Amino acid sequence: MAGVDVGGDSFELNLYPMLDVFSILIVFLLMNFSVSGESAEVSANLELPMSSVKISLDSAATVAITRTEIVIQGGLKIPLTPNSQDVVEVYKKDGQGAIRSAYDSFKKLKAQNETLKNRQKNLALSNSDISTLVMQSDKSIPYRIIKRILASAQQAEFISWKFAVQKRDVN
Amino acid sequence: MSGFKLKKRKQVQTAFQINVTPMLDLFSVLIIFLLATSVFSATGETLIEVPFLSSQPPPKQEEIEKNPEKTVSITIDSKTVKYQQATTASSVIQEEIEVPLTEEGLDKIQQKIYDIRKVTPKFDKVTVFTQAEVSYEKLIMVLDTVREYRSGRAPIEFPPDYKMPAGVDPTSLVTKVVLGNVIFAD
Repeated sequence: MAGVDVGGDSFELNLYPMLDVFSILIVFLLMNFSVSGESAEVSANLELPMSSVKISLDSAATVAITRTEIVIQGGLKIPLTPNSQDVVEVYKKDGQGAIRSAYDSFKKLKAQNETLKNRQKNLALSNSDISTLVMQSDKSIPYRIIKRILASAQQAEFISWKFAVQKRDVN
Repeated sequence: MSGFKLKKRKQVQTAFQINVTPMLDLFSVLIIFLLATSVFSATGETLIEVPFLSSQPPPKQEEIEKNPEKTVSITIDSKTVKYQQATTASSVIQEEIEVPLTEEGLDKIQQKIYDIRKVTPKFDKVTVFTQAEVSYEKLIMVLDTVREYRSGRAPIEFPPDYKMPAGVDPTSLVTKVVLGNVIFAD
């Protein structure tokens, strides 16, 4: 036991309560321990909705729609701030179909996936693997915006989506 | 006893103390490791499809009429959810209910889907139409209703001859969810 001898008096630090707390903490952490599941890089402006899904997020090219911008893997950023031409296009009330800049970006991404599939034969990527995207959207984003992104990707032959959510049950 | 005194045996008291300091060190390291590597908020996914124009010729009308299949579509509004059931042979709505966009309302819709799937395992596709102002959170709520068993419903046991499609989550109530109005206006 940790003790200090000061002028003949021995002070001993009682570590048992601390040990008890640590034991409980370790048991709790071990019971909840989970390293499975892709940890989504969620930005400060993106809060995923809760869901009772059991499947953990798999890796794929990602489209993030935060409260301030749309980010497509590969670099394109469409700001969702006032006075942006893209925003006018995205929010257009009767707007439908693809957004030009997003479509171009998806087309490029699709070409990259095709190249990867042809070059990396050992990865055995299927058509479905290269036609799938992950959507990380803030829970407040209206479907009007999501739809335009889906349409843009669909035109570039991405027909399958994985909608990212926050799992209620971690394990 | 002629002054003979029994000498009391000197008792040596030995205090046994377990040295818990190394254990404490180990626990500290373990706690830091577990805290650093644990995933407390895991991210999940729900699979959806968007309609895609196929070059395959459509099935013949006679064949469709011979073996009509049930179709279910769900329309999400900002406050309500509409469930419509028809068949591939006719676009006439056979059953329709409209419920508020709440857990209780969605539970009624799941019951409808559950009942169909229980009787007809082949029925495995729901089309979801979403209005422009509906938030992503509400959409996920409805997708959860279509996919995940709720209110203690037991997972459906399919007959042995039923083959689950490849690459889908076999624990889902319905494995194929299509977002209907992606290309066209609401």
